[in-house]
This record gives sequence, C-alpha cells and structure tokens, in this order.
Amino acid sequence: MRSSRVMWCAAVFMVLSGSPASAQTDLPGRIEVSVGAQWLGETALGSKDANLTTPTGGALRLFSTSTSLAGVSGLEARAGVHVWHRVHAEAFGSFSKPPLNTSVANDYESSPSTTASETIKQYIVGGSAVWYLPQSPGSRFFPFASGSVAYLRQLHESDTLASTGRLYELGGGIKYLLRSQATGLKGAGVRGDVRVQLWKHGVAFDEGLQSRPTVVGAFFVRF
Amino acid sequence: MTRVLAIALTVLVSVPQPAAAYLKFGVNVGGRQVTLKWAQTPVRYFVSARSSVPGVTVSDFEGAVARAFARWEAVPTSSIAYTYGGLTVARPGEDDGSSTLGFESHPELDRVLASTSFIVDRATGALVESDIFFNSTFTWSISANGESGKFDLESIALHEIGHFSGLGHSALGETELRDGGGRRVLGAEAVMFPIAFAAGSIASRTLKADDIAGISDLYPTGDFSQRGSMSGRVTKNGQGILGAHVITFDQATGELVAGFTLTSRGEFSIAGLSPGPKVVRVEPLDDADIDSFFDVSQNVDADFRVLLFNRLIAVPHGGDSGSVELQVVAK
Repeated sequence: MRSSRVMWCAAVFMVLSGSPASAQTDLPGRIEVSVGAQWLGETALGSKDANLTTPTGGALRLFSTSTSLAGVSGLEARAGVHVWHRVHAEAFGSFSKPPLNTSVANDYESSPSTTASETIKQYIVGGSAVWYLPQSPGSRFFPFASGSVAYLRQLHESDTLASTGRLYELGGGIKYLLRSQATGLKGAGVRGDVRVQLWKHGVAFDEGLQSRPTVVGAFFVRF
Repeated sequence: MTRVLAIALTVLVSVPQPAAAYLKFGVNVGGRQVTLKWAQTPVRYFVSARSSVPGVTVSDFEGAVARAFARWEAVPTSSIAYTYGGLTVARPGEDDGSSTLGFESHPELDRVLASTSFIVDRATGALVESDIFFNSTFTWSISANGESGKFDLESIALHEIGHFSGLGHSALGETELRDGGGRRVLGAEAVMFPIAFAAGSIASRTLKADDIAGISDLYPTGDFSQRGSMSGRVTKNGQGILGAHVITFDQATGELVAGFTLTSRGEFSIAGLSPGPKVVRVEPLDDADIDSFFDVSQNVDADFRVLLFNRLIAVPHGGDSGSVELQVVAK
C-alpha cells in the first residue's frame, strides 16, 4: 500500500512539471554508478516512563526515558540505468552507524540522569525512480526528483538482534557534469541529493511513521 | 521429605539459597541447587471446608481462589495448570499429601496476611505439597471493586499462588516507612512484591511482566523460547556483590522485569525478556526486609548507590545479551 502511494506521488510530480513526454536528458551514456557520503538527521523515537502501579491503580514513575536515533554520516552507492524518456531507475545501498540514545532521568531515588546508548549498524537497500527535470540546452546542471522504496535493517550493537522495516525516500537534487566524451567512460560528475526518509518499524518503539532529513554528496561516472 | 515454611506478604519469606532471578526458590539436593517447582501438572488443590469469615462464604472463597489460579494459568508462555479437587476437611499446614487452601486464625502473626508452606521431596527437590493459609485475624473482601478497610482475597491469593507454584518475591516496588512501624507500598510492578497494597486496594489482581517472566521461566512453553535473557555481573570496587536488584525496562512495551545478583561474584541472569534494547537500573534492596528475599546468613550488600547504566543492552530473540558488567559505587 505504502509503496504504491510513493510511486503515485512521483508520477503526479512528473505530470505537473509539464515536460515533453519524448524528451531525453543530455547526460551522456545510459548507465551511471555513484559513490558518496550521506548525512542522516536525528530522529526522535519517543518517550516512555517506567512506571510502578499504585494502590489505586495509578502510576508511580520510577524513571523516565526519551529516545532518539542520533544524526550520523554514512556511505551510499548507487547504480542507475535509463529506462524511459526522462526516467532512470536506480538500485542503491547505504551503510551508517547511528547512535541510539536514551536519556534516562527523573529517577525516583534521585540517581543522576544519564544517557544510555548503543551503536546501530544500519543497512538500507532499495530501488529508486529518478525523473530529470528539463534543463537549459547545453547546461551541465541536471536537476532531478526521486522517490525510493527500500528495505531497512538495523543491527544492534551486540550483533545478536536485528530490527527490520520498510523505508521510503522522497526528494530531489542536482547533478553537475564535470566531463563527457563519446566513447568508453562517457561522463563523470558530482551529485547532490536532499531527501526525506520515512520508515516504519526498525528500532522505532511504536507503529508510527518515523522521518528524518538526508543529504547526500556523491561522485558519479556514466557509461 | 521436609516442610519448608515460606511466610508471604507483609513479612518474612524463608528462601533457602535462591537459585535464579525474580526470585525462584532453590533447594539443596545432594549438594546441588535445584529449582523448586512441581514435577507434574496440573497441580491439584483443595479448599478447606472451614474457609469462611465474615463477608466471605466458602463458596466466595472457592470463587476468589479459582479466579486467581486462572490468572496464572492464562499466562501464554507458561504451562502451569491447576485442577480443583473440591472441599476437604483437612486444614492448611497439615502434612497430608493434599495441597489445601483456607482461612486460619493466627492473631500472633499480626503482619501476616497469608502464608504458603511446602513439602519438598528431598531426593528430587520437587514440590510434593503446598498449603496456603489466609489469616482470618484480618478482614477480607471478595467485592469486585474492593471494600474500604478490607483486604482483597483475590489479590492476596494471586500472590500466594505464585509461591505455591515455586516463585519467590520480587523487589519491583517502592515503599515508605510508616510511623507505627512497617512499610507502606507506594507502588509495585509485581504481584510477587512482598508487601501488600493497603486494605481496600484491588490493584494487585493483575499479573505484571515480572510475574509472567517468573512463572514462564519455571514452567516454559515453546513460545517462551522466543523470549530473551540478560546476564552479567554487578561489581563494586571490582568485587561482585550479592543481592543487587537489577531492573530492565523495555521502552517499546513498558515492561519492567527484574532479578537479583545471586552469587558472591555478583552474577545475575534475567530470563523472559521481550527482545529489544533495554534500559538497566541497579538498586540496593531497601524497600522491604532483606530477609524477604535472601537467607539472613547470606552477605547481601545494600551499601551502594542506585545506578542508571549508560549503555542500552540489546536482548535477542531466544538468546542472551552476553555478559554485562554493571559497576556500582558505595553510598
């Protein structure tokens, strides 16, 4: 259900932009491989009190907790191919190690507050649809919009517990072609992406949709 | 065979060398520790035909204890089962091979609401008989909503049936000293907390995560194997300490499950945990008499500060967290 909704949004975006259906990009070659660094923003995962039951059935707080998945940098690699008009399909994978931080405070016996942490190994593997917006003739800049569906795997520090979920990305960016040639390696450039990641499950403590901003800078080559 | 007396709720429980967390009871069989439990289920119990007090008929008593037994039976990760054998002329405490529940008058036990006693097979360590008496010196209620000034029979029965099944006390609670002596419970998150809520309360009619973990650890079903465990040591100045209370908190479920360090090396193991990262808190035993949990001859260390551990500990599906060292400091 969620994946179809993401694709629907991407399709609407393409229609509203009003580009000629037959247009192609001026990017050389059909295949692109990119490798780069990503930054993932912090995500608040929620708060919960550790409560004891009172004689009247109420709650007596033993301590309180508030948890977030901290911002972190990581690596991302993509491989894409031109599939139709201005649309390219990409497969991608990323790896990062965000700290899972739980602030523990308000202890009933006034123990000093602390932050309990562990490091999560986070793997994301998925596919994207990239739609190139019209660019000025001869320009080296190639703006695009993208939507992705991915599998999220988050491995806890002990490597004995994995949390999985489904992740979606919506965003866009721009590519700058540094060089192009007719044969062999047909082009190379840099790429910047800004996206919003949305996911369910994983290390989240509830069924709600989590979100965070993502920024990626990558180097690409085209064949 | 030998009868081991365990007085529950309000005051003492004799715990002969606890074997593991929550607590479970342990018995010494031929020099080795054996967890005290029933070898076969369902466990047959009887109700004393003298089980009536003002406001509680024998039929009321049967109904209240049946509801309490049913709550333990309903734990999906535990295989414990009971069967009612009917009324008996026997009284609780008689060594007759029948497990009997009933009211008895013990005015000299002015802080004991009820108690559970065992007959244990010395050769195997298995339970042979377990009796529960409810002290008719107190006033009792079976009202659905509780009655002011009267103790809720179903709540107290639920606690005693935990003992009847082999569970010891849990320390998941906070108390304050009363002017007239004794302690008042401010909050508890285990039916097996050793001190009862005040008269009129029915808040202990529901099993908590700690109780469920304990009974499931004693009588596990296949589903229990999907739960995880946490183990490790509590140390002070590099030395293990006995009797430290280790509390785990799951932020996803809100569950609190706890155990104790049970050896002089400070080792603990808490089973029955939901998989996921846990917040860990370590505290000294200070909310009930230490002998509600440990034999007085044991060197329980309560001289350390509460610790909120600075690591999240991931508990896996059907496995153990790996050893965790929790370092506390003296008060």
